[in-house]
Amino acid sequence: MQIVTGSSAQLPQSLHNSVGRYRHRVFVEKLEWSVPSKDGIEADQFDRPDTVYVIGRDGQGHVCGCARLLPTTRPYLLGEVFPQLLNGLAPPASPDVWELSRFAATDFNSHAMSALGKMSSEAAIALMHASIASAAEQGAKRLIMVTNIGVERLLRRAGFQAHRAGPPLVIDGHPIFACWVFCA
Amino acid sequence: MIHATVTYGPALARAPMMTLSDDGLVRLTLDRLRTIPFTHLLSGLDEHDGSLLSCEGASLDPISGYTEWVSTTSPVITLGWDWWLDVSATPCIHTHIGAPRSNVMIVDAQHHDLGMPKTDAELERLIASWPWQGAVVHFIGSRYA
Repeated sequence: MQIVTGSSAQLPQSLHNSVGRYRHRVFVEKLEWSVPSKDGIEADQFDRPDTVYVIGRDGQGHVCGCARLLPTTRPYLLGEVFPQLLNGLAPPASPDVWELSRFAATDFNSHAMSALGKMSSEAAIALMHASIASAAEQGAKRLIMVTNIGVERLLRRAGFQAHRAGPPLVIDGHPIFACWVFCA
Repeated sequence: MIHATVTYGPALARAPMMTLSDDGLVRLTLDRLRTIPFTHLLSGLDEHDGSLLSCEGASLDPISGYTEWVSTTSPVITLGWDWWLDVSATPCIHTHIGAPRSNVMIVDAQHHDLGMPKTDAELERLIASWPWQGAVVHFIGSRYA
């Protein structure tokens, strides 16, 4: 898997569009999240010029993974939409804390059906490492992320230094959590 | 609701404090943790790829899942773990597997962190002492009926 990082201005327009389509396929079609999308491209108010994208591409150049990094010194998903996941603490707002969101490493060619199977691949782990490294380059020491069971399992079983930031919120019968991930 | 040690009134009032730190961790002693009631939040089944476990000529689908519990305290403690169902046992046995997932850091009497490995080990022992299987079976039965 090849990993590319950069802002929307730094990425080729075609690749940026491919990420939007991949996100639509993962989050809208497969996971049935209620998130904004238009013309088969998923994007929301946090896809801004200062957003950093981490993108995985397979040998044919197809997008097979993605992540989105946002500084917590500006509006971000957890702080704006899911602050209740922080157990009563205020959402972090610090240059050394970045948010990781829209993490996906779903391989649509894989036949593995379990949440763990889909998220335990080497590609998913490589994408997480790349996301952490990219955030560290921006000055992050910790990441905060809204995540589900599958990604949380990946973090723990792959040995990432991570823990929950509070109790889950149950949406459509599935729990989501805020998790801290350490860059060091 | 589950707790390993029943503590009421004055005893609970004397229990050491637990604190919510900026890193999101709830810090408390093991003795304090043992007094805290937990309630079942939800459980779910994993989807499997159809691969079968061989069992003397027959085949068994692996059955596994996760379960989530929360404390009735403030700050809230969240505790989740994975389990699998050994359908070859009679009766079937739900067994927890892997390290629990939580927002807990157990501290010693001097309020020093025990660290994540020791905290996880204590949480696993706590889980093993709970009769959690009934709540999971009941919830799974209702959710997937």
